[in-house]
Amino acid sequence: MTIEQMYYTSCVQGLGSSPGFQFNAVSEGLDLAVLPEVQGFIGYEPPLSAPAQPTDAELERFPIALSYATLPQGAAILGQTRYVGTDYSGRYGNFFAHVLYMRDPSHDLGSLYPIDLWRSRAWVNGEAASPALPAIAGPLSASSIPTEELVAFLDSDSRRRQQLEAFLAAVRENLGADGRRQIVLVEASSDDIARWIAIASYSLPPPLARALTFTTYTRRPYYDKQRIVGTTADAEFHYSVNELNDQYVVFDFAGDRFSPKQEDDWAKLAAGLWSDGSVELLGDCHEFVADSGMYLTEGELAGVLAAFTAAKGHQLSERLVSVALSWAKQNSQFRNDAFWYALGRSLERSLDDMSFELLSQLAQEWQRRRDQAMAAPFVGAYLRRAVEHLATGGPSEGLWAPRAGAAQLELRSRDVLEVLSRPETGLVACQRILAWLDRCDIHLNDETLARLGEMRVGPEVLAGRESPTELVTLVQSRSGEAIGQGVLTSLEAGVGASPADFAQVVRLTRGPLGPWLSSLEHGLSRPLRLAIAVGRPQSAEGDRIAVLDVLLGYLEKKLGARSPADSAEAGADLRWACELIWATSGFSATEAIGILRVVPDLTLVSSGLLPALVDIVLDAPVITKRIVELAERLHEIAAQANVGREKVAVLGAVADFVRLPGPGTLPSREVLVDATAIAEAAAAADRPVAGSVLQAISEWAIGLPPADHATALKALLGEASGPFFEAYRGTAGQLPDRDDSGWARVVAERFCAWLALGETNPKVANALLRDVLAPTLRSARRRDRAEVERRVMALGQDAWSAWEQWAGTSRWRLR
Amino acid sequence: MRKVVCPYCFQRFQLRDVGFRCLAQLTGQRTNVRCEIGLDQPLATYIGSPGPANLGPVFSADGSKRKATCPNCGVETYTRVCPTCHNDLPPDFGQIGTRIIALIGAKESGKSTYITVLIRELRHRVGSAFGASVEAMDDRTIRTYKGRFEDVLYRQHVMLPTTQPASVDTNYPLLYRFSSKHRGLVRTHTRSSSLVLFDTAGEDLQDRESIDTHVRYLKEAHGIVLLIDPLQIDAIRELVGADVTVPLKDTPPDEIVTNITQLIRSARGMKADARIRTPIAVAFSKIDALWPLVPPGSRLQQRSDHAGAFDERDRTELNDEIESLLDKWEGGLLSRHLEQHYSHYGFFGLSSLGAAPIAAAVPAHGISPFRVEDPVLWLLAKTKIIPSRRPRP
Repeated sequence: MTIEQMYYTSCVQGLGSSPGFQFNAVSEGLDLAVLPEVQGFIGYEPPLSAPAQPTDAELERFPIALSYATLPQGAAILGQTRYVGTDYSGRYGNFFAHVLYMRDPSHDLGSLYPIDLWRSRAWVNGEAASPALPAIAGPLSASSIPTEELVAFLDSDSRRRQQLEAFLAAVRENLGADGRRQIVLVEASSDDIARWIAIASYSLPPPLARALTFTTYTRRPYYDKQRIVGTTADAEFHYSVNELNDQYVVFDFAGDRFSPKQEDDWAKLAAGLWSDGSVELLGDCHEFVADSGMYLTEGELAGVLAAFTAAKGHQLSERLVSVALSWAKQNSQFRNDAFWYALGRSLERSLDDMSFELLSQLAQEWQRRRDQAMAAPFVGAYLRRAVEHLATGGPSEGLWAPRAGAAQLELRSRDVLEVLSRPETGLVACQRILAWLDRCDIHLNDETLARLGEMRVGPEVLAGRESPTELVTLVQSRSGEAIGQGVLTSLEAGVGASPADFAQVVRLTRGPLGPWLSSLEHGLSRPLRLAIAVGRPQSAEGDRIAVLDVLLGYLEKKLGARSPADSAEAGADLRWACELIWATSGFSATEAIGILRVVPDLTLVSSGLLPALVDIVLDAPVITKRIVELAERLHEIAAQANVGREKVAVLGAVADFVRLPGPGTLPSREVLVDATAIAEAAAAADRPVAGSVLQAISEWAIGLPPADHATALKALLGEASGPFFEAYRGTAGQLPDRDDSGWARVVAERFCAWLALGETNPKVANALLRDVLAPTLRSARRRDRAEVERRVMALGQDAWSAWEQWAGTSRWRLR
Repeated sequence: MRKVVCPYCFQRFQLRDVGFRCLAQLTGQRTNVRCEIGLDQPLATYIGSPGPANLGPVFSADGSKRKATCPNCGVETYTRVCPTCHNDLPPDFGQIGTRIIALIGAKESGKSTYITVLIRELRHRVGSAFGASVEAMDDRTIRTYKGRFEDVLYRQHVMLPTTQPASVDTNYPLLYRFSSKHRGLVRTHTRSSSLVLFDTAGEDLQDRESIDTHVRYLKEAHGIVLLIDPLQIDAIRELVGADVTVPLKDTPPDEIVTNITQLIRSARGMKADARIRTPIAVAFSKIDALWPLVPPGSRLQQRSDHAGAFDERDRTELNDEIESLLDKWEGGLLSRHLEQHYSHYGFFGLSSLGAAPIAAAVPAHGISPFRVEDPVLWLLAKTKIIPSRRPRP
């Protein structure tokens, strides 16, 4: 393949029809249709600060534009343009461009990079004698810019070192983004621009470097389309914020203006190689790529360079190793075992420092490659780290689960158990670990798992440090069954440990554990079954009693055996059961009655439990009927068992209950009615308690102020029947001694109360006035009666009027 | 709806079709969206480079308005762009009339020097005489004129470098607003028009592949200034003698005019017998070289005076004199061609520097422009931008 040449300048004779800028000469055979396209890359305007009419010596110092551009159909041009001052007419502004047209740049350039022709002796700077130029046989030959020169160039200005990574990042970005943001390089000389371009080119594999178009000099960067545009400090460029941030990537070493840096893995790695004296690795990598027959895109640069340098033992950051692996995975067709071996051995040294993500990638890659020898250490380390990862809350979604095979040996049960037994490893984590181990086909033995459940999971749940919901999830997994057995053992121990522990077990049965435990109910131990029964919600009260019935039936059977040992055991069991129930959740009034109903012998109930049961019944709202039932039952038990101590206690409790509020406090009508109903029910049943209850109510009512007294009496007498009235009359008739200073006050107050009672119960009121008050007044001394009248008068005009009427009309004629 | 012409790509379009560019600088309060900067392909194609075309998106709206709201981000923009090439249009584009003055000429006819001197003269001496102001309409014009033209000629005192062909160098037209006061019956009012001047290289009219833009430029021009180097006329080359350095022989003036006529005719699709109505000012540059050849008292040696109004009498006399000289020097070829193809044409003689440059430097006595404003003022008077004084019958 031949390379065609072109000369372009302002000249008298050339391919044009008249003097002026034109192609002075071109190679024979060149397709002239390419000429207009070539013209777009070869213009030259001298720097603004350059002398307008330079001498020859000054001309030598003008920047040189070495331009490389790609054309459609894969062709490329490489040309040098130099300012030559005047043209044939003596006018300044002339330049001379020598351009090489390459139809197949990859062949024509051979191993050269375009920038290698910087200041090459091959460039011509003068017009041709003939318009026909010879073509050059490819490939071209030239010498590269020495690496040492480039390193020295970078070292000569600290800003160059600082900007190198950003520059390479910009190069890669530009190659990938159809050259949208061009790179503008501003340096003192075009030689420095050429060095930057050489650094970029030598950092790239030749095929990509051949896509990196550039010009080492232009006065107006706005009008050049190459990817890298070199210019001078006096360029017609504004360096606006938009230009620096959005339109270009600017590296202005003359004016110290730089665009913001973009993060780029390849740039970081390549810049590092330029900096740490390992730049030859770049060339080696490019050779490796070429030898492997790979064609890289700019997106793969980081991966292949990272993989290659890692395989060479170059220490890489974790991020870059990960990049290397990502690239390797995407290039599965690439099989170079020696490379992989080197990469693996290089990375194996730092297994402990490697991130889990990277380790995962490596392990997968080697297992995918079916290289067990390489895979074993990575997969083994991965398994251990995966368990740790899950234990510390790492997500299990997408976590690779190797079918471990031989590598399973690397994961010992006690290692896993150690992780699972840590308090900080939550149940969720345990569940995820076990599920993940299932996916890996790695199974811990049941004994180990049961021990885990008993020693770690159960106690944690009992102590409230773990969520029962998560426990349920755990025990429902494949490995969780064995753990569940261990948990049950732990719960059983909790049931018997203390009322507080039992209470916790019952709470658990009420919660999410309920369905699970219920599903196991037939296989459960008796204490746990009891706990489940107790834990059933109040709405299932009947069920609970039924369970108790079952339990007591069992006890009865034992008692039926009538062997002293069985009886003692049954009694102990019952007491134990009831105490636990009581300590756990208490009873409802119905349950309390139920219990008392099924208890065959009060000796089976501890002395502490019985009053508690009574309290429960008495505390319940609307309890009249139940109290009566309770009283009846207790009476029966007491009579049957002839145990006076308990009987007394029950009756004492009932009496306590009817201990009404103190003077000055009027209870609700319901309380009064309840109280009298209890008392009257007891009286009707000829209960000894009735008298004392009615007595207590009467005393209480009498102790109230007259208005409240009347109100209480109205309520009580409205509902109550004879026994209360009798009790009241007996109590009310007991007046203080007449010599007592309180006698007159009590008489006056009762008069008022009974007077008010007369509004609703005139007969009762009249009876009380007649039978209780009139006799005592009649027998009183005159001055005592006067004292009574004075007291009545003090109670108000209405009271006095009523007194006068009653006293006046009374046949006892008090006046 | 009025049609307008883009001063950059010279495409004609309806004013309402003017596009708007979102500046992609702010996040819209209503939309909470900020437009992204991307490659504007039409603009990149026009410039020939992607860098400056990394801008906010262009969107359609009523181009006859001065602002529009970006439909994406909801932010208002005042930046209007040509719907074809996407170059930013001057702020008062469409609000005032546009007069495109096409400046063309052969290689070495002195176009760049002429444009440099012309603008300076219009801004200072001529502007003052007409009570007119000539202001650049965009930053690019200011920078280009100053950096590429004025600094070189007026500060460095050297001749401008050769203009590079458009095919090797992107060139933007220079945009100026010409505002002058007109006294009416009741009040004085200002009349403004934009002037579009395009410095072309001589090669651009020879290379058919590169003249697409120039064809549109000529097609849409309201007036044409054709600079001709009189030293390309054989008879004059012989007459001037050895004292004058004659340029290399190039395309003869009559051929240049013929080529241009063909370009305009084909661009406008004109019938063979129709005459081009766009006025053309055929200006002989470097006229100072001819002073020894013309009789004393010739209009070619006298400066024009257009104070307050274009002096039509002076132009007519000058035109007649040049036509007569051309008849003598080249047999009237040029006159006959113009008469045949153009409704309005005029001959002018001018010298940008007032003397021949010496060793690529401006004359020692400085720049002394001679009649440089005549062609442009004639074209402006033709389109009623400035008044003119009619010759007495």
